[in-house]
Amino acid sequence: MQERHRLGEEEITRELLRPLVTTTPMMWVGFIGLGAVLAIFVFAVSWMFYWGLGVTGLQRPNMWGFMIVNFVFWIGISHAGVMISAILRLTQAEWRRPVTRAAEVMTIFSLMTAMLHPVIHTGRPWRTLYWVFPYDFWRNLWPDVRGPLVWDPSAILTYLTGSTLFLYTTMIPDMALARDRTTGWRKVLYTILALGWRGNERQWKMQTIAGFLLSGLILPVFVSVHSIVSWDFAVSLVPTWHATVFAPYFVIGAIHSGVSAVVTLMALMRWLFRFDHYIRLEHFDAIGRLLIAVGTGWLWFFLLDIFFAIYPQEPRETEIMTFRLFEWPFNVFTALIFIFGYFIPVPIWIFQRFRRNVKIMFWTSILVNVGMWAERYWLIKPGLMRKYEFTFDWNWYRPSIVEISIVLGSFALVGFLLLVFSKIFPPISVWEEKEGQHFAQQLQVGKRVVNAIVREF
Amino acid sequence: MATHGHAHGHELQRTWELTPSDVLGSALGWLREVGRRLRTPLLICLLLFVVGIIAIVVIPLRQGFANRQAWTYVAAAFLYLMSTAAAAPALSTALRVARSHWRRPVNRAAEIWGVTLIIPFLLYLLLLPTFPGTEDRLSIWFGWPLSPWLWGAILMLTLTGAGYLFAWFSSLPDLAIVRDHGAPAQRGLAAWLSRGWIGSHLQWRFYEKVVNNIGVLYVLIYVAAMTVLASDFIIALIPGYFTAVFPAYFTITSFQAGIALTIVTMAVLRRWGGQTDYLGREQFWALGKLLLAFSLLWFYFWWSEFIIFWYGRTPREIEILKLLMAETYRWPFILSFALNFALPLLILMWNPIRRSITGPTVVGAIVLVGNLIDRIRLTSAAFSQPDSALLGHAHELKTLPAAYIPGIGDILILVGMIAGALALIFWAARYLPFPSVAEVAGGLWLRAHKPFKHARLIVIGKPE
Repeated sequence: MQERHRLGEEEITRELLRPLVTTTPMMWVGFIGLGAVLAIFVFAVSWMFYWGLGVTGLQRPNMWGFMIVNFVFWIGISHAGVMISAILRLTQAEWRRPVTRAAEVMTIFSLMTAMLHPVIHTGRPWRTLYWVFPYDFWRNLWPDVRGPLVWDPSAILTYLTGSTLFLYTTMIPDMALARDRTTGWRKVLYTILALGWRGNERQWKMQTIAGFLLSGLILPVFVSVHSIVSWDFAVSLVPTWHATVFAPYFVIGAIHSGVSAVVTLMALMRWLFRFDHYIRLEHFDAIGRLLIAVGTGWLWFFLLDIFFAIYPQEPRETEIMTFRLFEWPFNVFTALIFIFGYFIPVPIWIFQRFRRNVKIMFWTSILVNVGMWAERYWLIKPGLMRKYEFTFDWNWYRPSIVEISIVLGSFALVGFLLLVFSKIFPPISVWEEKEGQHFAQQLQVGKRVVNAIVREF
Repeated sequence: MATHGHAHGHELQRTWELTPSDVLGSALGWLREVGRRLRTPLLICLLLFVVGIIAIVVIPLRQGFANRQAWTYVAAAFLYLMSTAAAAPALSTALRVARSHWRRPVNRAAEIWGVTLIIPFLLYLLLLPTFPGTEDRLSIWFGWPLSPWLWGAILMLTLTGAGYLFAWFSSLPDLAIVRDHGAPAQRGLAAWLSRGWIGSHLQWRFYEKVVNNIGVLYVLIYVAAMTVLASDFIIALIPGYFTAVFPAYFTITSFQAGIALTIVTMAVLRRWGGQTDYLGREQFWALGKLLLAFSLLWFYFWWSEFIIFWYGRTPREIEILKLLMAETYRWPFILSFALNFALPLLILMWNPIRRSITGPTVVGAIVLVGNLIDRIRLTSAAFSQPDSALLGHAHELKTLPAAYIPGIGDILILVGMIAGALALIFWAARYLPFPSVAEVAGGLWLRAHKPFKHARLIVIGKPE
């Protein structure tokens, strides 16, 4: 099973720091391509700011559209970092080593991208800032702390702070490594970030303890973030939103899409940076097995949501569910969710030879996220697209080109930020790889050589 | 690191210093002693079981078979056994799939509970006639013909079959040991069950490939069965209890109880079963962490439901909160909250307690009591509703029923059915040795002493 190559410490350092000093043609293609889409994103947002929300498809009662769907999607993707890093670190899973850094960075960039959406969705963000800072308590207008829209920024900012600290703590030894091997502005930057790291015993002990503590502390935050996002919808009385299952359902969906995004990232890193010695087929195998469990768990919650929405046989719920399941275009979304989210990828992942095929893993992980984006849209929109008691008009929601550009641009934004990160910081944790090399052993059992890991009991 | 003796305050499990023949010796010792040791507990449990059966017959005779309330504690016993004994093999599967080595001596303690599945199955068949058809009431079956009776029974039969298959297949190599080395009284059944196992390369390959798949199949059926049971026994019997998260709560808290049951079983085996070499701090610590995680999940799933009802505050939701938490069953709810979440959290959050034998055992016992109270609370609330309150697709609880107070007969039913399950365990322990030789000795083959820095370590082979 284990295909680890015995590599020297210097070799590991050289290979993992290579993206910092060399830019391959593929990376240039990435920078230019993503930059172009990002430019469209910036133009679309500026256009919307200039002309107002009228250029979007938002109207009564469809006040939440693509931007809020995309917000929920990116919050979901951000769950990958903690799932991979914190949980696998706490359970001492060896295969986490080459993917933790990328997963943690993706958490931060996708959280930042998610946070951007409610802000630009206001249409006039500067006015929001004007009304919020400083808050005019003197008029006795207190924010309602019982409302999920107050919990949301609190939870997301806590998660962002925790994730950034988590990432930074794990990066300190690598910063010192880069500090000692660079010159110019890079040396200044790494010197500041390395915080005087010399790698003595006390520093390693503190770093390990901090890593474990942050792993444990961030887990409740991780669960709370998407639960709170789900309560943005569920604590209202909108049909099909007012469901008790929303919190765990959103969390498991987030893990499904987040871990799949890590697979996408692993494949891209293998191709872009030629990290074949580090991101090995056994890692795809392990994450594929994890995804089978996560995907099946997600399917269970998905079916619970559908069945128990129909179960009360209340006309309003039933109408929206019928709309979701059988009417255009949501029937297509239902099919997309089922087929892309579960019925294509999971049966494929059951077979080990497919789990160990990078191309198949890459494309199935993309399928999952197409399905999961569709699921977010399917969950949020139909409940709003109906006649309310007190609205004098209602209409279908049709996203405008501006909103479509913002959605596509958000993918480019995260991709671009990840590429920039990998040009400045090592995309795989160097010290963790070296530690892994020390822990790897081989045993002779009968005629077979069995791979073994030294680990703490 | 694990070194000989103590390192970084961690105690090395003595298992890793033994040889495969030591493990075989322990297992054979178990087989020799087990009959004598378990005779008295087996007789006591059988007696209680018989008393329980008599109570099951007498109570409905006195209160009327059509009165569903008379069956409350039969249903509570059924759901409790489903939440504990039936959940333990699922834990074993999870540990197998995760490929952890510490689980090797734990597997048997969890899987043996699979042999008790016949009791909940029979209880389920008894309870089925007490349910009205689903044509004129809200149900997850949506009025499907012969629902809930036929389809529920098929599901339970499949679960019971899968449970026995898993319990049998996972102990196949050990049954062959009983066949070859057991007492004459043990050999007959063991020979029949071991199906010609000789431990050939081909047989081992087949065993290793299939055992996990059967376990996964069992888990999938278990989750489906618990989803249906949560719906049929609780949700569909309480008008206006529209909650999609409840089946997940019911299943997750059952896994919590399954872990608790395994820990308590391990403690009993350690104290009275001579398993100190195999069930040590490593196992209790690891399962203590899992139990803590699942206790937090208990809160999370309960909270996910509560907050939606609390914020919705429709009359329907207020009545449900009153029935299950705030008024009718307030004290059972408070006890359930304390025993399933608050106390486990307060005790297990401390690592020195988690890393002890006593800490996880005490919390395991607390959770088993807490789960029982929770199941009684839910069943009592659900079985208090007459058919008239359900028919016509009732959407709201019209009147809050009074709390159901158990009589002596109800207690006898509960104790009797639990004792029946224990009697089956005591009987099965005559044929299934502790520790599991196949598992523990299999782990020892993957062990080696290796130099690491300045120490010599025990290394266990494991793929990344």
